[in-house]
Amino acid sequence: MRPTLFARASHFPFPKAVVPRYTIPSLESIPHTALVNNGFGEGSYFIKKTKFNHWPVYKKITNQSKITTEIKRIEGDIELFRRDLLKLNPDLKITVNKTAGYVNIKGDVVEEIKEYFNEGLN
Amino acid sequence: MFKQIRTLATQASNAKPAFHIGQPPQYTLASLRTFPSLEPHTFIPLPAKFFAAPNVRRDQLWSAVVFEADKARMGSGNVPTKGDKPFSNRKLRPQKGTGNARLGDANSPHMDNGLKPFGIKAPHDWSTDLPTKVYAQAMQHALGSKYKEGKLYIIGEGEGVKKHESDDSSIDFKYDHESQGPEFVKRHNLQNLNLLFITEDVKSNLVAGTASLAKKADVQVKEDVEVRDILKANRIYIELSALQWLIGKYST
Repeated sequence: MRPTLFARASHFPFPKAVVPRYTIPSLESIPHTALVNNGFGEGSYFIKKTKFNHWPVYKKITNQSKITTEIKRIEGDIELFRRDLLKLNPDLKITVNKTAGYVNIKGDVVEEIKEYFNEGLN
Repeated sequence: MFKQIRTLATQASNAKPAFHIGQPPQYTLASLRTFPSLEPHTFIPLPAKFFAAPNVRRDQLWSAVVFEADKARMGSGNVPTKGDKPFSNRKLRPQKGTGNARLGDANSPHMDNGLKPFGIKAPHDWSTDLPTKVYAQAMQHALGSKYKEGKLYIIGEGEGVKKHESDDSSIDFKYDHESQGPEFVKRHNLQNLNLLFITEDVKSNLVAGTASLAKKADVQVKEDVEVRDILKANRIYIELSALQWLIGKYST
């Protein structure tokens, strides 16, 4: 909500930092594998670590009782990732959110998934 | 409390887990053109995360558009209430003895007098909140979807750009004349299309030249561009420096 007239009158905004512009790299510096038609997404996927170098795997509690494990930041073929997880542990109950690139697994399996990632994704 | 007993847990196999990891693309290519011929001269690499995201998040676009529309509302609606006291304070009839119900003055909102209980008063604020990251992603998806449809034309100066005498590497007409905009539309066959010009700073010839196109052409300085403007446009002409500024501002 917008602040009241009094709050606006008595507030002196701190000057904002200048937005750094995106610098366009030269064409020669880019390998062809870094371009969009490198075949990524068909039979492959990628999960990026967080900036603190952790896997994006979280325990999620909804309604104080429903416990799921959420894997975020999945790019590419998310159905293939689901099948790969099921090969490792066929008992996992997995749902997939393709739009957001999330995978939800029933129950708290955070440590198990992180173990798979440390062995297989590193 | 949340302790789970996983009776069906199985032992993980000792073999190394087989994940199919690939490297996502980092860059996508776009043509760099000159204005007003729109002739392509060279390619420039742009971030793939911004322009080539596989899923367009329509939910985020919707949130951003609602956020902008709420912010744009004036909040000038005003309704007379009892507090405005349009009538006298005189008691309409005696408290007792008439046989009718008790009645005070004519300012009561239950009477047929146009007054509303708790009516809205101007000015009021309809603006809503949206996380900055959601708005930034909406901007990415809006620009990215136009790029994928081939409706984004980037005008700028780059290596190997050989331009004609009449061409320029910024979006502006050479002369201040009202026929420049309609001529541009005619030459490029853009009749009945919504055009959006995004410039680094105010371009007076462009504003004057496109004035006769009325609602079919929108000229915006980079700071004023909204997600709504981008989604409405059928063709977007953007200066390279303005695009670099937008990418810098709306990268998540």
